[in-house]
Amino acid sequence: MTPPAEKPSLPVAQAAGRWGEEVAADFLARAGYRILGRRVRPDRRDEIDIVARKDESLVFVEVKTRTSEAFGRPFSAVDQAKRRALSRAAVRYLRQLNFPKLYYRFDTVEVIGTPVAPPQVRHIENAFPFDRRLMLGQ
Amino acid sequence: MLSRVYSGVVYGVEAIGVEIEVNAGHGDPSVVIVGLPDAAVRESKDRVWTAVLNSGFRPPMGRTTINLAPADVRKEGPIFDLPIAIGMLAASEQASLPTLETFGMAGELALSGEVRRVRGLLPIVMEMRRLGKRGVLVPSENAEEAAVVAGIDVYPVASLREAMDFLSGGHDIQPRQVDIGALCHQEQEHADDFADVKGQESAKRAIEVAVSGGHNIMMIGPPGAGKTMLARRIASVLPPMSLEDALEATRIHSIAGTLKSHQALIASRPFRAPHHTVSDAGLLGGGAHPLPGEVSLAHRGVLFLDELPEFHRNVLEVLRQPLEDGQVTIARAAATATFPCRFMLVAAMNPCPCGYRGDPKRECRCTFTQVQNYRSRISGPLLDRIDIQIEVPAVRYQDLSSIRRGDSSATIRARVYGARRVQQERFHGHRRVTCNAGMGAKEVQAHAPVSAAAQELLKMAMTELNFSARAHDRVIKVARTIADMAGAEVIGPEHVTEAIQYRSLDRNLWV
Repeated sequence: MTPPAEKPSLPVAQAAGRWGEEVAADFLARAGYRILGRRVRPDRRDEIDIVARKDESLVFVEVKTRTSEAFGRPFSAVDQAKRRALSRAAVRYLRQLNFPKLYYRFDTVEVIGTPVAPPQVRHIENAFPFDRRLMLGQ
Repeated sequence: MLSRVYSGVVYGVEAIGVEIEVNAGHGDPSVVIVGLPDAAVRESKDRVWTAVLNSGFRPPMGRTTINLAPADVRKEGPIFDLPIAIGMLAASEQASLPTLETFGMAGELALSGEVRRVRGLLPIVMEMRRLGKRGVLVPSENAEEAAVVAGIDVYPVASLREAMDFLSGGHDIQPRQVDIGALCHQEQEHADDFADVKGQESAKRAIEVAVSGGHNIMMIGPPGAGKTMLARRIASVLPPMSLEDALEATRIHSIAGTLKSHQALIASRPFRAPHHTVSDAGLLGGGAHPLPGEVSLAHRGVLFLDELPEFHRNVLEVLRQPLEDGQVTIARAAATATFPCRFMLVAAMNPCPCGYRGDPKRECRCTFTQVQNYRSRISGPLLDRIDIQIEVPAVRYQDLSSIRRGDSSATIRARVYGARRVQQERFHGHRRVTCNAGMGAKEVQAHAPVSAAAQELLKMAMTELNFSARAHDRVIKVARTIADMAGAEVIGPEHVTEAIQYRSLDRNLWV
């Protein structure tokens, strides 16, 4: 009695992450952001969780989900390596668009909780700057 | 968009105008400062960012480039916080500031957006006036100091918000004004008075002569005789400063940051008493970007060096050139600065290491070599520049317990004014010489006629007391002052006698 063939479910952590991204996207949309893309991969290396637009700003969003803050806040996991990876991805993304005349920034959305209870969401605008090593003259 | 704001940077005693260009462009939110900023200027980025947020404005969303021109002059200090913040807000079009370029400004920002006082405001405001600015925005704590400059409106601002409201025309600020004439002629209050000093009448007289003629003076005496007490009271008998002198002194104190909050002018002559551990840079001025030292802070006032032989040898030696030239040039790799330092030197020392040589009551326990060593710490060339050398003996009990009070500072001051007025008339038209102490050989010839009887005395002094030719000239200069105090046109024998008294070290009385 084998179950019907279906997509294998994600590991627990990844499932939580996907749920967090949903919550974050909803949150941003309600805050007036236009969601341009989810899990954007400008090339094969890096992934940007959410690309959104509000007014003149193009925002690259990193979503961090945790069930609790017992082991530190989610944002603390966005370390130098992650920032660099995001900067790299953002530069590639911008290059594909031929560097539109907009303001760019990196935001982080922290999602704390589990699907059973209303999660806590924190939006950190301009959470970190572009990695200097990837900065292009403008 | 691009905005331009004007400020200045202190360079020696002058200021150089600095144009601050701020461009708010697209891209990521970051701030770049170019144009030779030092650490304090580069840090202003973070102060300004936070102050802008806390004042209810938004920092620019994109890339902000700040250029400080001219690019070849080093910019130092937190002076540029306020202009950078205003430039940022103007460039990011958060307010329309049509008159921005007609103003100069300077000020440090607190994280809250408050404007803090800065050093060197006076020369900067003068430079802004030279550049034809209509007004300057200055920290309100410094406003009085800036308001001394005539011909430019000085607007005190307490916060970034207030400055923005003013520039956008929403809020009027009354320009700060000070009546410098009144400040200058104010009678000075002094805590110490010569009437408090019991006995020591001859030392008091010598000090009066020194102050009257602007002569440098050295007091030699045992511990506890009252040398320091006397020196501290010199400030209370100094003649008033002219407005020009006061401005010069204020400029130096503005650069050094030693003006008190809301102090407009150094209206009374400065009295500086550095400790004998002072370094040569501390005394003369120094630093990578030279700041004035004690000699310049004492400009137009008194420099008091207590325990003269205890000063480091190199410190005393570097004092010679500024004593002679009335200015000091400090050359460093980054910059060279010249600060004026015309001061009256007052020095005090003990006659020997133990302090009791020549004391009638106590025995001196120093060996001859010790005394020689102690004395030799003060070199001949330095001693030569001290016109008056007097002994200040220990006070006798009768003097100490007597209720008779000597002349008060006010009385002495009145006499000093009189003697100075005579000298002012005499040296009217001379550019360099302002008092008897400043006379060169030529002026001595012209202005110090000596009577025949006095000539005789001088001749005796030179032969019998072995006075050098230089000591001879010094005696005449001091005699000139004494004659001025007595209202005499020609120097008489009594004046010369007294002047000879004031050459203790030449007379070798107690070696």
